[in-house]
Amino acid sequence: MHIPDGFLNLPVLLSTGAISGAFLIPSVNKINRESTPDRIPLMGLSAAFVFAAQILSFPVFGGTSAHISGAVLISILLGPMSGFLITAAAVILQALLFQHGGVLTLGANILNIAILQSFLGYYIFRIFSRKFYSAGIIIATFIALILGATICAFELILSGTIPLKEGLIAMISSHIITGFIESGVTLLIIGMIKKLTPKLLELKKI
Amino acid sequence: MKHSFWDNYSTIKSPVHKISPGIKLITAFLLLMILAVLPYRYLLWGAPAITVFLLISTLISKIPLIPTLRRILIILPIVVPVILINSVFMTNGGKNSLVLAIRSFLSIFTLIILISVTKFSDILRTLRSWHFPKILLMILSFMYRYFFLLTDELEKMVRATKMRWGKRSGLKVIKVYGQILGILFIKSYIRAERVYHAMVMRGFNGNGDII
Repeated sequence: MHIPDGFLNLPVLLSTGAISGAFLIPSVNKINRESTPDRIPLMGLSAAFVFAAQILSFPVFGGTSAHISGAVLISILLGPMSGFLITAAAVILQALLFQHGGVLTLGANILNIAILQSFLGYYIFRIFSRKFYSAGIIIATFIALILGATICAFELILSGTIPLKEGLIAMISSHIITGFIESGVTLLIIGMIKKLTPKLLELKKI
Repeated sequence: MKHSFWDNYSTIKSPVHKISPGIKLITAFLLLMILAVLPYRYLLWGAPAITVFLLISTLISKIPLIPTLRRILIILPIVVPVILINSVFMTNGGKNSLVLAIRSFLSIFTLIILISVTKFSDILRTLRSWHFPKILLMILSFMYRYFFLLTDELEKMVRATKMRWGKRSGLKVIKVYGQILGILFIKSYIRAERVYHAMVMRGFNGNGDII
């Protein structure tokens, strides 16, 4: 879902950049205001975890592989704004260090991956979690990922890079399996944490 | 411990490496902007000019040329399907696909040269002096330091599983990998606590730059 440089036109680049900036500034302010000093290494190590987890490729039938993004997982554990900043940092490092995604397209990629998945995933989870904890995790992760892919497809369509119908079908269908894996793995990880170190589920959610 | 350090050429000594990181960042940004907005007819002579500029920078900065060019191929799995969809389904597909290919390949080339001639910590420091949010840059610098360690731990656990299992596929693999990631998160949390204590012992109080 990481869009490389050269795939988006100027209006899309500018508008997605503006949206990401508009989310970034209040999140940074809120975290600066409410976080304790020990939160900085926690967020840093969580970001390194997300990055390492993205390297692990899950075998999918047919010889292909998929990797998880971990955005919803981190925002369920640390809160939506922390999750957003951590995932955004992962997207930035992927672009700068590994050329996975572009620099001008950072606004778009942060919108599709960090903003949509962290905020949407977190709030969908919150709605469901009171009654159906596990189902809430799966639904939140799946919906957030598919919506991210849809928005990503629309950015490419608006830039004239891919055609409307075929582009949408290709983007969404290719993310359905990834969505199942991502939601299953998120559920497993949270289940594991709940069993072994339940106090990690009670970290302050910012 | 076998990682491909993507910025492993950033410690070479050359005239290009000595240029201030801010200037290199701005140059790369301008090149990317030019590539993004230049229309088709200008791109045909603009693209060779940018290619020549990038190749000359490669030569002056003493980065090995072949591995650098090989790195460009990393975006093939993303570019090829998009160009295929584009050229098959869209009107004007041939011209469009050519523009997409030129833009994406030259942009990635620019980024590879940038990261090969600039240290990552210098990039972060420059961004800090341009008033980028401190918390975001601190997260980035933590990631850069600890990601290799965590990847090592992850690889160890995956290797240990494979040793006991041989090759398997299907849902069971997803389950076990998920559990490995769960353990990795707990390990990361414990490491974060230790790192925080070490930082406090060295006088960290939540303020100040630690990039």
